[in-house]
Amino acid sequence: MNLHVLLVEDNPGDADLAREWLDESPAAVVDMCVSQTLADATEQLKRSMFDAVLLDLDLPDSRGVDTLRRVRAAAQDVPVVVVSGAARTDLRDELRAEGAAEVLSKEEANSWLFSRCVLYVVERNRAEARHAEIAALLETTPDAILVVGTDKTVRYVNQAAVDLFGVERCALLGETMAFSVKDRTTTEVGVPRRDGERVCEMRVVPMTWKSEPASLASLRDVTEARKATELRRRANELEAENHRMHEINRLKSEFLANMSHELRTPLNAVIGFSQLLHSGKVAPDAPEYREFLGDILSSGRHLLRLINDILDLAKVEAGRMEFHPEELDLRDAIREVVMILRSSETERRVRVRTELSDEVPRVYVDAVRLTQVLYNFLSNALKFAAREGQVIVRSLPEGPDAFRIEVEDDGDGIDPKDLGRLFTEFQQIGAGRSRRRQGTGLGLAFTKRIVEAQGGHVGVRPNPDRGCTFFAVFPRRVESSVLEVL
Amino acid sequence: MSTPYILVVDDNPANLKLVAYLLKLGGYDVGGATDARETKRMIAARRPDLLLLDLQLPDADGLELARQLKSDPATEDIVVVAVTARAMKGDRNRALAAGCDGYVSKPIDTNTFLDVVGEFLDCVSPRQEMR
Repeated sequence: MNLHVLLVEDNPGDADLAREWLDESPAAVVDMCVSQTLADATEQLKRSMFDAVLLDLDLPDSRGVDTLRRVRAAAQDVPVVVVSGAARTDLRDELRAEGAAEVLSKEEANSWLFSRCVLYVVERNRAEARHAEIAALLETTPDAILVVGTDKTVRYVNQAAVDLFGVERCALLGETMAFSVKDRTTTEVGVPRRDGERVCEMRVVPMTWKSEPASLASLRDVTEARKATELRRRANELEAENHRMHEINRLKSEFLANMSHELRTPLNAVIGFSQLLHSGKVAPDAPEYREFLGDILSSGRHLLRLINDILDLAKVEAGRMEFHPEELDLRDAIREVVMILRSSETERRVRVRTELSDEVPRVYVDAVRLTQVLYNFLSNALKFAAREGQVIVRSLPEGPDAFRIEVEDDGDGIDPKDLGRLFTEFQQIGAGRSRRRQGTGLGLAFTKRIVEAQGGHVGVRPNPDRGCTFFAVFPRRVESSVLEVL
Repeated sequence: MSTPYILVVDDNPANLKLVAYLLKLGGYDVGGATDARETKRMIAARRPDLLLLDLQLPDADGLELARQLKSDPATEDIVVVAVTARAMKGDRNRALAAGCDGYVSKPIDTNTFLDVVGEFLDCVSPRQEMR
């Protein structure tokens, strides 16, 4: 051991002797400074770090116990060995009380005792300093630390553990720990406390405590963090809800604006032409007279169709549309719709072909609603199919519990950017002049809603070559529970 | 002064027919278009004195078309009047903000429509002798 020692001694003979004794020690290499006065000693202590002070109490500038007090005041962390002429027992006690690490009398001292004593004092001081460091770490860490023996009794707790559990340290020690001990994985545990449960993250690792196997549990109080997370989650939820309400409001306004536009458009023709005829600007025998009457009539019919569609839509929206499922032959139902529409579409010579799977012969659905969906898809397909083109109507199984109806056309197809709003109210899509304003712009929106109301879904996909395919997936058996909701 | 030429844009055939008929009754030269592309082509072929513009066209938004016409030096001084079924709060201001010189909501009043048209024509050209 290397020792840096300050010898405070005004008698040069005694100083030489002390140096001699220490130099003889086999266990230590001693580097010694000597002060002959207290003033010089305190000055030295300020300047450098010593492992120990060897102190003669009677100096030219200080005497007795007071000398010890003043040295201790100058360097609290340095152990002081008092080397006194005659050390009475009561003086020894007093010196110990004042913080002397050891008291040696000059009479009884010899080389071996002297060096042993100095070494011991220094080692003890170093050990105490290390202990103080470790204790400071353990007692100031914000994580609660507990050592639990194999019998589950608590052997050690730090200050954070005392604070966390809210009971005295002695009440915790010896207590049985209620947590299940799991190695290394982080688990969340609730720690009951008078002011409410604390939520903690706990990690447990194996250790050796006083030569026996034990577990070290460290608990981090995450109650506030969890509360903050929960608050943030709630805030996000509210914000999303708020956003959703705004969006619903926006869609409602948009729907209203669109509806106003769609109703005013045919009304413009109805009122405008009526006013013309009524004011006598067109003579009853003029050829325009009958033509304008026809315009009024067809615009009026368009209005009626719009109003019916809007009412239907409102009914599904309000959950008041009734469904009457019945067992029917899917292929017959499809053929019937195809037959009706095929005969109405003769002008553009579009061919309608059917590919009906034998795997879905009979289904249990509302025949009227099924027909409506197919009618919508097929009339759209006929509108947008190429002149003298082809439309294919398919029925397919979709797993064991559902089936799919598809209508494929070979028209111009749909711009991918329009796919999203296809099933939205009043969105009529079609390029330039090929668009026909016979529709109300509500057909697909309505189709989507009645299919979804029966527990199915709709969609559209572009064909690899030309046109696109609309599809609707229905449950083979429309469940009564779905109907109850409605 | 030659007969003013009015171009009517509406994708609804009945409404196009109605306005065109009224304007012919008023003695104007009338052209008709049903979408933005056709409108531009017809303007290029013969510059109208007045453009009556529906705002919801199959191939473009009417407001966008108005903006384009008003920002092109070749067409900026054509009088553009929106004739539209968009009649919610704010629609008039949106039309005027897009550069339209006037706004008429549908359904139109056929008894006063020609007077309205006459006023817009007066704004830019000396009164025509016609009517």
